[in-house]
Amino acid sequence: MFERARRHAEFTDFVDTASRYLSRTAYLLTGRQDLADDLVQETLTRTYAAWDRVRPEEAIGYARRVLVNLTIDRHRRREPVPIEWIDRPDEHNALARSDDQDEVARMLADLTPRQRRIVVLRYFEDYTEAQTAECLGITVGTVKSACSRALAALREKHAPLRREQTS
Amino acid sequence: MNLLEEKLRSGLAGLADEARTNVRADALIGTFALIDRRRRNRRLLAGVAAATAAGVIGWTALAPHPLTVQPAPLATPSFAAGSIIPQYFQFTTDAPAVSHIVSVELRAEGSRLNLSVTNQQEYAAPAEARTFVAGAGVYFATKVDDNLAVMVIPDVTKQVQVIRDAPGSYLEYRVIESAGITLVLEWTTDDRRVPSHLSWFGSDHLVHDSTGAILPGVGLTLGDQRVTIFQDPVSGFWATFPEELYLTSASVRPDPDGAEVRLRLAPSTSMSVGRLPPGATQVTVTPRGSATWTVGAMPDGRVWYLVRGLPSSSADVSTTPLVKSISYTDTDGKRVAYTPALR
Repeated sequence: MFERARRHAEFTDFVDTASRYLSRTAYLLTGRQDLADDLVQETLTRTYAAWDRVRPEEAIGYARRVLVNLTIDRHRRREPVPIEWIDRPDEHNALARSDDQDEVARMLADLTPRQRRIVVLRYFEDYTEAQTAECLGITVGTVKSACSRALAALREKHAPLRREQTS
Repeated sequence: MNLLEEKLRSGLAGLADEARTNVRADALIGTFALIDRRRRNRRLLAGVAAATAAGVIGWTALAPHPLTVQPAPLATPSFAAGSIIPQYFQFTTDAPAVSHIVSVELRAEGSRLNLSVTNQQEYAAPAEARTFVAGAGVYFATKVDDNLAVMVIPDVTKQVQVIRDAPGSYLEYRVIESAGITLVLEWTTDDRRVPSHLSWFGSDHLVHDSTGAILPGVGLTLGDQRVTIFQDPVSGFWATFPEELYLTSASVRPDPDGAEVRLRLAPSTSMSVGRLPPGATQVTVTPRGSATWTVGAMPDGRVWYLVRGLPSSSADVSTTPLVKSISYTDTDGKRVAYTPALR
């Protein structure tokens, strides 16, 4: 009984700390608030199920990997990647969204699901190529080539950036 | 760092600020309690099973007795009459970007299961329902339209997957215990051929397919993880239950011969499988570190091995081998050793 209470207390603290962080990443990975909520809930549930094996200092990393894996799994098995967020910014924040954010939202929409994951991990999570490869279960070479293709595609589609790059 | 990368860094951070945090610990308390209860039940069941096994073994050893097998009475499959809760599914296409809500209403009438399927494009005019009739105790599959197929598996399955090559195919399924069925919807990105060839891990712990065959397989257990490896005799594809997390098509699965194929069955598990040459016996696997291993033979006599690394505190994404070497006795009686290629 005491053990269960201790687990609950520990995990409640973890949820309070991690849910904001996980929600931000999930939102970028899925592009939809409802899907992000589902993924975060499932991530926390799975993390709780494994809580006895997770060291406190690694808990957030563990949860982040579960989240990324769930995103891949959901895309593979259930439905193609959602895209609706780009043209429908969250109403309560729509006015506050900057041009940069809008442009980045459109950029993400142009990427394949894998490219989007890599871009989010590299440029939002600040992962190195090696960390990104480890998180996604792919080789560093694949990360490099996919990231390079993603950036090239974005430069191609977003003309001002292309001009800046070549000038 | 170039301009594009700078823009991504700043823009992603700003975009992430739009995310709301709707998941709170107090809303998950019920789920946590359920997990705790299941964990306790598993421990209890393991204890009971061990005690029962010990008792049976002890009793059997003391008092040998003949076993008389009575054939089970032949059941006449039928459904309990009435409506079953409508099932809703959502599929979203990439290009054009369209979300589809698929609803399936089920009505049971003795040996008939009536399905009314509506494929409703989001924000579009209401779509017309299409109706189908499935029979009790038999597999049913039909196209609903160019992109959608519906299947009914007459079993409370544990998992369903497509094993023959079906790129662009997305499955979603619901196990409906009250009707004893699994309802499967398949969405394909083109209209080439639906429905796909399915396989499922049945309530009888055997792998079945949509032709009615039981696929040859072998169940291997290490610790609390049991993996059933099976092969489709028609295509030669092999797969596992539990299904791998990131597998997009069974046809791209590596050749298991002379190899160590890493499996991604769940986060925090490191597992590999491989197949020994025909006729191999007395197999010994030398694992790396503290990994454990076991072997088993398929109905065709080919031996497969399963290796499991120590549970990790983080999701298993490594690509390091779990096996140092494998040795076996070949058909000429010679001992042969090899280092499997990691695939």
